[in-house]
Amino acid sequence: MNKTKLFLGIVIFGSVWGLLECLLGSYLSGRVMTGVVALGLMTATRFIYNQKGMQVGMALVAAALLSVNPLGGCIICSVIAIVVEGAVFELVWFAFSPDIEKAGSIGIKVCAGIVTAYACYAFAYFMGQIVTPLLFSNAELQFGDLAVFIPNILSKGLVAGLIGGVVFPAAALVRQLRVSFLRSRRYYSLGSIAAATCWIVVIMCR
Amino acid sequence: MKQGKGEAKVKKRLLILLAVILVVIGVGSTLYITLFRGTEKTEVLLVGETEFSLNELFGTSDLITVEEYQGVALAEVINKAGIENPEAQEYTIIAEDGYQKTVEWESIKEGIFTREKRVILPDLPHQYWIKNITKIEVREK
Repeated sequence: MNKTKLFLGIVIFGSVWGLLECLLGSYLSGRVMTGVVALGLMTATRFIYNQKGMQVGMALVAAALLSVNPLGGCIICSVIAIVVEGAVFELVWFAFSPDIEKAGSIGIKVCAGIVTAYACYAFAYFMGQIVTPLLFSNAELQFGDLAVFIPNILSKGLVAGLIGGVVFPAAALVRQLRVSFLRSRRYYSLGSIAAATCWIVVIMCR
Repeated sequence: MKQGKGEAKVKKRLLILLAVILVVIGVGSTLYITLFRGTEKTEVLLVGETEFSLNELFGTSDLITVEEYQGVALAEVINKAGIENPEAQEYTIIAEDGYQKTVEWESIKEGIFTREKRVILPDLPHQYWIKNITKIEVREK
């Protein structure tokens, strides 16, 4: 694939992801954000572009946009969570990619959605709790505090996983749009405008 | 080619197995929380051994503002609880759902406790600004 096309795809969908996190992150729970927004966008773009590493790139763009966000709660935690979600998505696809990509059966898609969303949510939560005190605060990391809350994280992960089980098959439907979307003559112009709009909206809110 | 198909079959089964395991873990954790932990919804705050009702706490303390939040100074709450030598202690702030964070006196003395039962600790990231707190455990460092 043309590298410029791929790079623009990373910027467009990373910016859309970041904008949705900024606008909805304060109102929707992390489970819904992971299961619907993060998994939906990463799955759809994986089926459209079919390029390894793209989702980590999108996560970095979304994290960059989120870091200038004036709204919401723990910005550092959200930035860490998004980057981890991108990395975990890539790992799951690295392990199962040919089977997920060629999966015709709805059952495999549902299972892929559950595994990906659950893993993304749980790892993002753990890493946010571990990395934030280590790098971004003067409080010490207390593993005891985290250990007590592990059942809650695993329980919340179930909700993310079940949402992912529905969202993944739905997002996989975009595979049919792949050719027409990427070959569109307006891909570069409309894509650039969409990405720039996301950044302008967030920066104007500051 | 045959080996490739076999591998793919194994991977598909592995994916299904992994999904089932995660669902079982999630359901098990949910049952554990529901049956053994529950949530403690109370209108009191337990600090060390001392229990305060919210009305008592907010009726007898001056409100201060930190960032855009208003509440009573956490240092005052700790003092009212009769904690001796507060700078030598560490404080575990615990929420209704079991979420907890341990912080030092340096953070506590800058913080406030709001009417919505939230602690605001301006020198720490927002993941330390715990909502719906029920308890502050105090122990020596």
